[in-house]
Order: sequence, then C-alpha cells, then structure tokens
Amino acid sequence: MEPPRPLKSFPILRLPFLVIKEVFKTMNPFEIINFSMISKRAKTITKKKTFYLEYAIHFCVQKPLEIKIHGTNNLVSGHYLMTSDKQKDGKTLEDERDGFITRKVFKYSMDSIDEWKQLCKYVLEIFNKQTIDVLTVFMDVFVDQKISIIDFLKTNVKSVNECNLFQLGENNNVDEHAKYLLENIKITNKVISWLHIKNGDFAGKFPKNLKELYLLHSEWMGYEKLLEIDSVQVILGGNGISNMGWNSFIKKWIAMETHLNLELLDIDFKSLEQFRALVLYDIPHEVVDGSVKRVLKTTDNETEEISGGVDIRRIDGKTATFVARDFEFLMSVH
Amino acid sequence: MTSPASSSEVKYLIESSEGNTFDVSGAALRQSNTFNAMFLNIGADGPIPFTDYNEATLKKVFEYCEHSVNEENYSGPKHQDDLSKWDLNFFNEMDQKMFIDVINASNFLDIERLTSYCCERIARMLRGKNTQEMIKVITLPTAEELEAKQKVEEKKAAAAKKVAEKAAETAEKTETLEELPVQQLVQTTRNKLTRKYLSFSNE
Repeated sequence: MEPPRPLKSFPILRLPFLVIKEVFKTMNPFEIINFSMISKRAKTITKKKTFYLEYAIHFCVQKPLEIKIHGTNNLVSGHYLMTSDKQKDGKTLEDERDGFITRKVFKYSMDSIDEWKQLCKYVLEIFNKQTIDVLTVFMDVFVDQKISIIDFLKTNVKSVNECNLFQLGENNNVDEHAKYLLENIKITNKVISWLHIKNGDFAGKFPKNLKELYLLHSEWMGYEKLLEIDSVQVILGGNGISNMGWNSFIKKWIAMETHLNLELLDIDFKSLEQFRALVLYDIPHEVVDGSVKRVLKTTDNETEEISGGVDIRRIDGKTATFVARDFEFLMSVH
Repeated sequence: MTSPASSSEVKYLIESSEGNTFDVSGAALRQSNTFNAMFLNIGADGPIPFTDYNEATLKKVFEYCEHSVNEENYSGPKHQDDLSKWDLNFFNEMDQKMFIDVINASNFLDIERLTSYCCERIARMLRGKNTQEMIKVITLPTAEELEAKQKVEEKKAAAAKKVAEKAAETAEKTETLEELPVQQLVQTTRNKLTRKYLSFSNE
C-alpha cells in the first residue's frame, strides 16, 4: 500500500493554535526545541506550556556534560550530550529497552561548559521551568569550573527536587565543593550522596525538611552531624557514631527533641541483641514476639510485613520498631 | 429539509462561502462536535451556513465524514501507518492549499478523527529534523534570504525617503509661490507702483 505522499513543505505557523497543539503532542523534546529555534514566533508558540506533555528536566555535571529531558513515566528520554569532537556534532543515538526509548544527540562546542549552560537556560525557558527535577554532579570533574557551575545553577534554577552527588576517585577531596554546593543549591526532596567526605567535621549543611537522604559512604558522620539531619527517610551507609551517641540519639527522639519527621532510619548495626545490649540498655523497650506480623515502612518508600522487632515509644505515643534484616538495620516509625 | 437529527437518514443542507448549498447526511454531520453543539438538538430552519469555507473544502471534509460513518467510535489518535487505502487516497489527492483548508475546516467543525490524522501527517514532516531542516519544511525564509530581503527593504526605504524628501522640497517651493501672504503681495505691488509713480513724477 502506498504511504501518504509526503508534503514537502507546510506553513505550520499559520495554522490555528489548537491544530498546532495537536501537532506538538506528537513531537519529542528534541523536535520541540529544534522547532522553537526556527523563529521568534515559533519560540513564543513553543513556550505555551499546554502544548505538550510535562517533561522532567535533569542536568548532569559529568563528562560529557548532559541535559536529559524525560517524558511521562520516563518512557521517552531525550539526552543532549556536549562534545568537543566536531565530527559528532548533531549525531543521534536511539536505544529502546523494555519499552523505554532513549534518544541522544551530540552537541559540539569548543567551550562545552558554556554551551551546556546556554542550553540549560534555553531548555528551562522553553519548558517554562524554574526548578529542575534532578541534578547529578560528579564533584571531582570540571574541578576548576565547579564554583562557576554551581553559581550558574544557583542563579538559574530556583530549586532542585533530587540531587545526586558522586565522585570518580575515592581519594579525591571534594569536601569544599560539596559544602559550597549544599550551601548554594536549594534541594527540596531528595539527596543521594556517594561522596567520600574526608573531614569528620564536614561543614556542609544538608537541606532541611527532606523526604529522603541517602549517604552511602557516611563513615565520617558523627553524633552532632546526625542531629542536624532533618529528613523523613535517612539511609546511612556507615557512621562514626558511638553506642553512647546512638543511646543519646534514641533518648532525644523519644523526648521529641530531634528528628521529628523521621519515618525510617537505616543504619549498620548487625543484630537486635547487640543493639539492645549496647544502645537500649537504659531505654524502656519492648521485644515483640516473632509471631506478631505488622506492615511497616521500609526503604524506597515501600511497606512490608515485618515479623517481631523491638519497639520503643515516643512521648507523643508514636512507636519506632527496630528490625534487623539481611543487609539492613531499620528504625521504622509508625 | 432540516430537522432535529435523530436518524441517520436525515439530510442537512450546508451552505458554503460561494452561497452554494449541498446535502450532507445527519450521521456524517454528527461527527462534527461544532454541529452537535449548535444544531443537533434544535435543528435548523434552512441551510446551515459554514460560509467561512468554500464548497470544495466542505465537500472534502464531509466526504471524509460520510466515509467514516460506519467506522468504530473514535478513540484517540491513530497512527498514519494504520490508515486504510481509502484514507491514504483521501490524503494523497489533496494539494497543500486544499490540505490547509481541510485542516482549518476540520478544526472549526471539531471533527476529532480528521483533525488528528491531519496533525499526525504534519508532525511526520518534522520528525527527526534539526532546526535548519524544519525551516525548509515550514517554508520560512532562511537567514540569508531574510538578510537579502532586509537589504531590498532598506533600499526601498532609502528610495522612498529620497522621493519623500524631493516631494517635500517641491512642496516647499510651491508653497512659497502659492501661499505668499496676501499682505506681502499687496505691499510688493504697492512698492512697485510707488517706484513707478516716483520715476514717472521725476520725469
């Protein structure tokens, strides 16, 4: 069957808005951005938010610098990758796995950081965003430009929903830049840090009122720093807190002097018996029989049926259950 | 000829921009949400005036509606690859102008299926294209063409300015001759006469 003869040209901008809107609905983020660059009128039309689906914006400070635009449920993602290789300019890659489509486009520039900044601004403008959904930063790449990149983000991005912090080399000291980032970028929901902080007295302040805080290499974390945390979920991959410190923390929690929003804490104790003996020794607690099953909050915002555990009670009546599982030791508040 | 549409047998008269009228079945017309909102329940006492669109366009649109009367209810956009042979022929027969007219009419009449197919067809023209390629598709002038156009316009403007200046100059001269104040004219004449008189008396 003969496919429709392709119309070679068409004055799209002269169509009624409702028709253009229908056309936009079938376009991917790259096509939308390319379209917006056609003319001032095209840009004005493109900026009408109702013309397309809501996209999630993800800026990546890594090598290569990236801007990701995720469609609904992440089913379709468009990635801009900055490159200093002129031959790659404009090249596209498309990958489909399990129904998820990823399209990548290379953008050449001699000054990839500046080009990335300009494109970040343009993407924010076109998709009418003042906040971004995800910021990923490798703290030990573009070290010399790190402050200027953070300043750029501070100026152009009102807040970041989720911030992922990485470092390539475990031995690289990223403390200062991590502190600067935490001081200058407003993170509203989630922080995931794979940073190897070197200084036990790390001066960086984690954002308040978080939903999730994952510190996967937190051996540097001390008692005072623990008290500063304000998050619904706290996952610590290690800590330097003594048993006495944990004892004091539990007492403060019971007295409602700290971590009022806490619903889940994941720490690295080995067993409930050890925890009872070393931490809860002078704190009233109840060992719940293994036959008692309760649905409790666990990591990744999920709930699971948990058998037994050890309960402590806060002065307002809230209960926290300590549970030891294969690779986690949870304090689940209910 | 027109009555509230409860049966597909009912025919309606449609009037085009040329003032011509033609029949369309109620079943076909009911695919238009605009028609449903305006006439379905109350009927119409004469030809329904869709006079923003010419006869050829309206006939093309309602040809589509008549054809799809028996198709299953519309449930969202259908991919072009799924179009039937009849649909393909329907779109292939249209040139650009007719296609634009059909989209506009379909949009006004709010015929979801036809509008959606047309939009999908336009979107295919842009698929996978960069900005420069899109410019060619949507028939916008390129930067070079814009520059050339601007130069021409600048030349025209300069020429027009010259003409205007010349005209203003001419007008000024004419004004000097034609609109010399009457008193001044009288005085000039009087001076001439006085001189004449004096010279006469001296003689």
